[in-house]
Amino acid sequence: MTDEQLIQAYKSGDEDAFRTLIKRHEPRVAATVIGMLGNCPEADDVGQETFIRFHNSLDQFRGQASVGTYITRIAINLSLNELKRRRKRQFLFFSKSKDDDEETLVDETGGIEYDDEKEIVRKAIQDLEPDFRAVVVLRMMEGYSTKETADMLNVPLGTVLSRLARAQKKLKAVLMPLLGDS
Amino acid sequence: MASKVHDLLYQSFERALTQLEQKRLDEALKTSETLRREKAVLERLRQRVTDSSVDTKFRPFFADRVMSRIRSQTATGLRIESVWEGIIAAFRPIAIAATVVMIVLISYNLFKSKTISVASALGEPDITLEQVVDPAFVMNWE
Repeated sequence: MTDEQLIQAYKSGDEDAFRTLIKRHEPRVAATVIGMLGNCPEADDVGQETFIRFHNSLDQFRGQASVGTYITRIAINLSLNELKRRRKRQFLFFSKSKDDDEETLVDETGGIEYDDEKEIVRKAIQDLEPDFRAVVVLRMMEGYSTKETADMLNVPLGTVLSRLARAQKKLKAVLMPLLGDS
Repeated sequence: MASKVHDLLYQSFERALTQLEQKRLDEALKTSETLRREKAVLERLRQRVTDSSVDTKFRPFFADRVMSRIRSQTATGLRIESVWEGIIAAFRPIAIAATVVMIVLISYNLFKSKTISVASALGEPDITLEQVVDPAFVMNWE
């Protein structure tokens, strides 16, 4: 069954149809939310909220975008909101922001502190500013086109391109030892 | 110039360059060893980022948790709806009678006061504070 058919079935009273939709889109939402927030308890909450918002907006969903794109847009916006809340909380409690953490990924001798290389890359992405992180997650990890990324974030295409370039420069600076070029 | 070519290199991963842009980038790549190295690093970086894709599942029973929240949300919505429906049903029989009484009272007040104002419609007496409070009494009290 297509997503649209599942939505119609759910509207006609078939509760399992919406469960199927959740299962179908869970990987995409998880990749987006965990990519943005890291693997933390809030990620699960934001994931749930994403599907609840989608459920509540079913009447407004006219199929302008695919269901996947529509849900990812909700997920990325809720993730950005959560990051803002996180920063506010950290500011209120005068603690060092996790997002502003200056922790280096490479030790003084040039060696890498983490065992798992993937983990190092994820940590570097997590340390990017939220706006840069969003374009990296959507474009480079999720594989959306720059146009789709711009639509989801509601920013001009040029902004996506410049954020991508700046994000890659930052990542390159941090991950240089891993990329094998001095 | 070098920065423009640099920008073109980054953009070449994101969009199809125009013929002119592509030609300029190709020429720069032919002549600049640094730019070739930069391109190779960028390709490796992008591959690493793509490969680092995170877990694609939330905690187990994610769909059940969402469905349970949707059900409880719907139940709460229905409860609120039914409370409102109850209030509306209870007030409906007296609403028309109350409206008629209100119109009659307002008309009577306006007719009696012979002026048109909110105060006269509500039947408020058109007197000042001094008329209500005896000034002599106030002075004695002070």
